[in-house]
Amino acid sequence: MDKKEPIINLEDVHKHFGHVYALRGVSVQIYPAEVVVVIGPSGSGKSTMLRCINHLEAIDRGRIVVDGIPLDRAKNINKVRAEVGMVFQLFNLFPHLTALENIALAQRVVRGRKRQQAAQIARDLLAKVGIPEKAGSYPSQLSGGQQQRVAIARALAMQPKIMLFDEPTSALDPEMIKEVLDVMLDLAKEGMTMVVVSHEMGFAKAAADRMIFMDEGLIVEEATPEELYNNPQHDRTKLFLSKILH
Amino acid sequence: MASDKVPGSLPPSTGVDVGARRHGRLGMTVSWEGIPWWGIIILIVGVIVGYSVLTNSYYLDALYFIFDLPWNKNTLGTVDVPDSGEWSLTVQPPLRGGTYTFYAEYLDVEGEAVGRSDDYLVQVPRGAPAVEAEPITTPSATPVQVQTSTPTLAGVAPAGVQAVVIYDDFSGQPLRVLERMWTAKGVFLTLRVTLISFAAALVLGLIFGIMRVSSRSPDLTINLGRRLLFGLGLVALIWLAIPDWRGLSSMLVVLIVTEAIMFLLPAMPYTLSTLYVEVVRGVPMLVIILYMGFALTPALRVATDGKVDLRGLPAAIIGLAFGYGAYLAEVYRAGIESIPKGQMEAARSLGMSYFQSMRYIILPQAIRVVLPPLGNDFISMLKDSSLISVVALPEVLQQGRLWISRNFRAFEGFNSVAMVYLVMTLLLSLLVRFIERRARLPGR
Repeated sequence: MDKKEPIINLEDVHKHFGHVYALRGVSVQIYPAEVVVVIGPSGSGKSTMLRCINHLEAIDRGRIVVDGIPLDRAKNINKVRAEVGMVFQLFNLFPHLTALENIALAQRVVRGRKRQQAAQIARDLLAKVGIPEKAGSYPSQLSGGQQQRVAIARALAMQPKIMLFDEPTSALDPEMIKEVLDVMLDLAKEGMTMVVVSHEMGFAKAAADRMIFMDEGLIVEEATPEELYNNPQHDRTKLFLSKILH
Repeated sequence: MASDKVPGSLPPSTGVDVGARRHGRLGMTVSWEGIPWWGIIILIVGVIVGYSVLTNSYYLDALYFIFDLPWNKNTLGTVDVPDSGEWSLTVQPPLRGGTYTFYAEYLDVEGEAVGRSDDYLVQVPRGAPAVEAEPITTPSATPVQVQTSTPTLAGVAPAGVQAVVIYDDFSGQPLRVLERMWTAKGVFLTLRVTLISFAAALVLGLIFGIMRVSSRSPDLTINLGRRLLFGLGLVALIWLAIPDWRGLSSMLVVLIVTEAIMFLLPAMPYTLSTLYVEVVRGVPMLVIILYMGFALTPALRVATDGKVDLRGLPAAIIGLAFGYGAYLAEVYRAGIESIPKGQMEAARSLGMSYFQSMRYIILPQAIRVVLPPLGNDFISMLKDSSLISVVALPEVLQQGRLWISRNFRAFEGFNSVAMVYLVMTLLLSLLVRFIERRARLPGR
């Protein structure tokens, strides 16, 4: 095991929404350049855990430390969020801006980059995700796969240290899933720290250093993809895997 | 031909036989789905208005009055003419610098116009004092220099003239005509008041609308010890500062009030804005305007020893803006809340602050959503502007009623008023539709 400092550290995190207990004591460490894929049934708390990492949800108990900054005592949560990029299941692109403007806006407004510079970086990122010609298109004019790739580029434009993916391909038609996963694979190969909630086993096998299985607000099992597939330890893991692998 | 009327129908391939103008040779079809609804309404209204105006001269007179025509001259005053025929008038209020054309219109015993004098051209230097001066007794085609801003005009009217009306004619000076239109009574006053009040209401509504969507959870996590300390501190302060309040009951009241404030503080924007919206929406517009005009602004004048006098037009504008601000706040709130939460989440995830997210992401989208209801509210306010007649402002309705009281013709009078409002609202509806169409996002 690495002796490096974890870049994300969750200690006994609890989160409830009214009577619904989403997280019941989750502890996990994620190290720089690690790619962690989180799987689990719906309602298991995987999305909630992800959203707690960039403070979209405030936890009720426990501690989260991201990039050395404890989230509950962060002086400026916006600065922390700028270092943690997030890609959503429903893309959440800004519909009134073109693809280029989507990617450039936060750069200008948060990082203070000049218009020219932000636009150039945006174009480079669009090329990197494979759609340089769509710079002037509005989200409504793009396919789902293209929209998600723009969303990834938008998050990457902030040059974050961590990228969070909340079921990035779950809302896509099957023929578009590959193009998004390819972008994510490239990102993983470049050494980005990634936490991915996804059901794409192919991606997990290809890119993940570690997989986490969650159920009912707790982490049930952590292992490498091969170990988790071939030798799941818990019954619940086995049950879940049998359901999703068909 | 039936095929003409089907949208998107292809031209006949030869395109020669019927309606060659419409089809074929040029390869174009005219797609024709029917007369737009607004075309029909404009047609009907136009026919009604045109017919009324053309067949009944009272309508013309009423409309003339309601529009506060003429716009190319001001009436300076009416002077009774003695037997000698000599009249004189001192121009009030003081004139600004410039060249003026004055003339006198002669009225007979029945008040009918029977002729007019020649033009008096007068030049007033800029900054001239308002002093008495030699009267200008004869008309002159070359400007007469005076040294005062209140010149006196005089002349001799021919026999049979009972009174003269002195006019300031600026037909050839477009700027002055525009100024006259802008400050006109009737239709232009209505438009002016509506524009200014609505602009103010838009701003008020936006502010309170945003406040309405802010967090409403009271902050229970404020350190309990700190809160008690603050409460006790405040109590001690009041105990020292206000000897009258040193009793146990008043101290308790103070303590409870401070605790309540600390409890609600983070929800203050929400609380205050809800208060404003609920209270103002619960009171009829007429009452609000009366309140502003006869309760608040006079009290303000008295309280500031006459320095702040907002009675009359300002009171009406404040009343309308204040009243509509509450409705617009709810429109804005609905618009903001209609934007999917994911938008805010995406913006915040990128590191944008709450206000940056609102400014660049939420509000630009919300504006497009709220444009139709805002446009409708503008038209609503145009109609509600008739309420300001209760504070004695000469807007359309008031002018209409005044005309009726002078001419004793209620039908023509009220029909004219209704027609004026109808035409205004129709034109504005078209404008609103046009703006809505322009503001649509591509692909919607």
